[in-house]
Amino acid sequence: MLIELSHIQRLYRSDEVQTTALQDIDLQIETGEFVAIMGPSGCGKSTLLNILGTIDRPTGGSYRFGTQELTAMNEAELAKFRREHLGYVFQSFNLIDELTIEENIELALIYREMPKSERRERVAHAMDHVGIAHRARHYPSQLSGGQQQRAAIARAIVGQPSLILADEPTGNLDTDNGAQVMDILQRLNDEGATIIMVTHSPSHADLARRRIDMLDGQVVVSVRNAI
Amino acid sequence: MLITILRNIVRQARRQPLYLALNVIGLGLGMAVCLVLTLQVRYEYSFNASIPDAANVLRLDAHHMNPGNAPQENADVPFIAFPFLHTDFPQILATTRYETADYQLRAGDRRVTADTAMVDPSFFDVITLKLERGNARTALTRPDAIVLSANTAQALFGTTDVLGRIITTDHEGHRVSQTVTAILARPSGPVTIRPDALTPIPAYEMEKPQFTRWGSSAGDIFIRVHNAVDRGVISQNLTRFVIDHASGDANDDNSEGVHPERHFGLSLVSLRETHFHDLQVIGGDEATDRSVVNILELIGVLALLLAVFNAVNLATARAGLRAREVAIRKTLGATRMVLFVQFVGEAIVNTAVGGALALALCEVALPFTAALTGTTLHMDYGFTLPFLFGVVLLTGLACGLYPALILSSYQPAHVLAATRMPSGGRSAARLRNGLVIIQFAFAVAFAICTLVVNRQANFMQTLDLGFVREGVLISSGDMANDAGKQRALIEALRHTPGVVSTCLSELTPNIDNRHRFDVTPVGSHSGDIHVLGDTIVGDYATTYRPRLLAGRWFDSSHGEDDSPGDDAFYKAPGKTWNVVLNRTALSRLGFVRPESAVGALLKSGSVTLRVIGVTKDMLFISAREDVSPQITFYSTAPQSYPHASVRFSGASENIMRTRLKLAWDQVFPDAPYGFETVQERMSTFYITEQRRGWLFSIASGIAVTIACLGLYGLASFIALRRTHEVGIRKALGATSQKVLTLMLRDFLRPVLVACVLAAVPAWLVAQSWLSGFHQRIAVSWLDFAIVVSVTIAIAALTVLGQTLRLARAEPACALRAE
Repeated sequence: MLIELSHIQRLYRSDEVQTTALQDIDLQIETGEFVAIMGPSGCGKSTLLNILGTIDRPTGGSYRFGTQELTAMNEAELAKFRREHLGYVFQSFNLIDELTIEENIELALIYREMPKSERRERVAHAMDHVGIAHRARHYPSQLSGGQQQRAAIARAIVGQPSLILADEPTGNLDTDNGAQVMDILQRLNDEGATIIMVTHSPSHADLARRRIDMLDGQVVVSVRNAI
Repeated sequence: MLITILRNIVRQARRQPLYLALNVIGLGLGMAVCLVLTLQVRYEYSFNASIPDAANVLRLDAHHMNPGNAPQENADVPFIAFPFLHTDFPQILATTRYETADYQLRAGDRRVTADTAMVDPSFFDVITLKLERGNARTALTRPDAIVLSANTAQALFGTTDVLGRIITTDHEGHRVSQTVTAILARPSGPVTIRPDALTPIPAYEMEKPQFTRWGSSAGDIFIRVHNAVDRGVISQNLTRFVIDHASGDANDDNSEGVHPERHFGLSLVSLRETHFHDLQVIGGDEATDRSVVNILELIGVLALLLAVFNAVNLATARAGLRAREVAIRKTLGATRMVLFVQFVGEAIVNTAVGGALALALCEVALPFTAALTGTTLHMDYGFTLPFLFGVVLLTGLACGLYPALILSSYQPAHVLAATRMPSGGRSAARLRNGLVIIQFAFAVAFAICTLVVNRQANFMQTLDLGFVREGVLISSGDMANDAGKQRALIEALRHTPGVVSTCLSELTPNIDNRHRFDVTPVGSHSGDIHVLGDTIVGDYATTYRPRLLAGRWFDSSHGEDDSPGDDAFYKAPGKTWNVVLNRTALSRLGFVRPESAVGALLKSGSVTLRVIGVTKDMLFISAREDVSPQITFYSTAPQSYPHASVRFSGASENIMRTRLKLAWDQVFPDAPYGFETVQERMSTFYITEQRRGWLFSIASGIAVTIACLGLYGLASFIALRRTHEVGIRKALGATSQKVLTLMLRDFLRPVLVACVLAAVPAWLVAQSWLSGFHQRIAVSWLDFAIVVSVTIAIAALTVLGQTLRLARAEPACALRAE
């Protein structure tokens, strides 16, 4: 078992209002799975993905990743966990405007304190993998949306993570570019990567091996797709 | 439009008070520094401007070049030149001699020591000082006339309504009654000529050698000419004037032709120039370095520029925040020109608010600045308000033009469709960083120069003077050439409780009079060198404790130690007298080591001098002045106009002053001088640098503050903009510590670059300024290290709050930020 969530809860409190974003989530994900999370806006998909990605903390419950209990980790330990195990793909790409594509991808390795030569090698390989090597020296603003998202995927895979988290990776793309991104994700999954993807697109969700539907902060359906 | 502008500013003040405050405070500080320094510079440039037609009043300066000495310029010239001026130069409208001396003035019970100028009756034809009472044409025609300054009249009579009143004056023992014929008005601006009293030159004074010998330095000669052309004609013919009248007499210390190794020349200096010019003139201790004054103005302008950079930086950085407003206004029909005018207008109104703040700051700061710089600086609204208006307008335009261009150029469709606010891209970021670099480069360069100025001022105060300055008190005035009284004074001082030793000498810290003569080593072909001479009486060695480098000090038991001194010296041809050299004389006479000079013989005319000792140079002069070669004689006979010096112990300085004054008054009841410490006598040498150091410190402190205000504003903006990036970095595994390091490095990089850029110009400026001092510090790498460390520490503290907040951001929240 790669991931095991038990009774995960996420509350947001302000002075006057308490909002429940996630409520009693129990979820297990095996190594090598490709899971699509669907649901209407505000149902807690992104919150769940943020908690899975440890960039947000649950207010209750347990999150085990392999043998590690992540809810007990401090900020520095979580940062170490993220750089060693996770790769992110965001809807709005989240590339840093001031860095070139190559530098953006390298960013995922810089925090691992890896030798520069190895970083360069891995970055080149990742760019080749998603077909954007010719754009290495360009800045994000000089690329199309599809190219930016491929760069973001390259950044997500360059560290060879145990888990890739994709938050609506095709949400800002046209149909062709969206299809290309899904192809890449499928290919990565075929190569053994575990992927959890939030999407609004049923057709893209159907490309995953498992589909989880959420509503009002809870998992309502978890079904395996016939592929 | 104005209402729209004002409404927008009020809205900004409500929504972004920090931004507006940073902007207005930065501009206010910059304009205040500019205003205060401009008033200070204007003050320095206005010396003697209140004297009518001062540009055509010229002072005759003497230039001496003698073997063994650096060339010297002296405002005191030989008065023998005076009668020839009129005959040789028909361009001269009027001329006067001007010799100052301490006069004791007495009216009833009141006594005042007055710095009195002995002048010719034509004085007011040359220098038209304004009179509060009396007639300038007749004020100095009577031999017993005396013109008092308003302050002196107040001190003597309690009123200035004293025309025709009789006062008793005492000058060098000549006690006479004089009639007050006029009262000088208080000058309306700074002047270099501000005597306490004016009186016709007494007949006994004119018999002195300085009136009849070319080699002497008697006093000033002022002439009035019609215009600059006449000045030029006279200047061109002064060399001929010297050749015609001054050359050929081997006994006079001047030559053109007879002694080609020497040079004596004359030049003219306008009264409007003397305040700056006198820096290179002997005794011009109150003069100001024009380049330093210009640097002050430069600092003022640069402080304003720093504030402008701040405003531009903040405005362009935050332009993105107003992009939607621009887009909506354009969608609703506003043209680019209308928006441009609106944004420039906002900048000018913001600057005007800063200008009001600057005026208030200036009002508060000016009295402090005046006290700090020892000037009579005051707020002159007739100048200040139009000047400030111009500054506000120019500054407002400078602040507003570029940001207005950027803001008004936003394309509505692009802005409204974008998810992120426009930042101007990498070129705008480069511009912002460039401006921060320039700001800090100026601030760091100021700070380095300020540190050097302060260190030099401190060095001048604590300089090894070659004698022990502590525990010495010196009479503030010299005494008459009266053997009986001099002996009586020595006795009176010696018997004063607390006095360890006492001596008389002409040369004391901050030298009044100097006399020089020529010496040459016996058997040497190197020719004469011109040396400063002093004859000491009493226990000089214990009083000053000069550092003996070789040989011995004087001892009255050695017959040849006791020279006759002064004029008697030359009346004893064929004699040999023992003397002590200073270190500079040693090297100028060609001796390699102090020991090699001991026993050496020197010739001065027909007199032979035997060197018995060599001392370290005793620095009685300004650090700006070259140390003269000096030969010291010892005598038991009275000397001309010596000062009394006393070493004391076992009592406080103030108690000793009182005791010594009592002893002095017993002997010289009509010359009510007090006693001063070495520090007090020499303070004029470094007080200007000290005051300048304070002014520079404040200005550079403000410059750093303005730069930090800008950095803080920029950091706030960048922190806001980079929150999202921090989210990404954290999602990719960066820890808070790594983010903190990265952000601090990014914020401080321009500051570091600025430090590097500032180093060379700061070093050059500091070196250039220090080159004006013969006794000076070396610019050290520590000056740079200290300023750079402090600047980086201040800059780091400035951005630390923003950086910490950014580093601690939760990644999920940070990713949502925009």
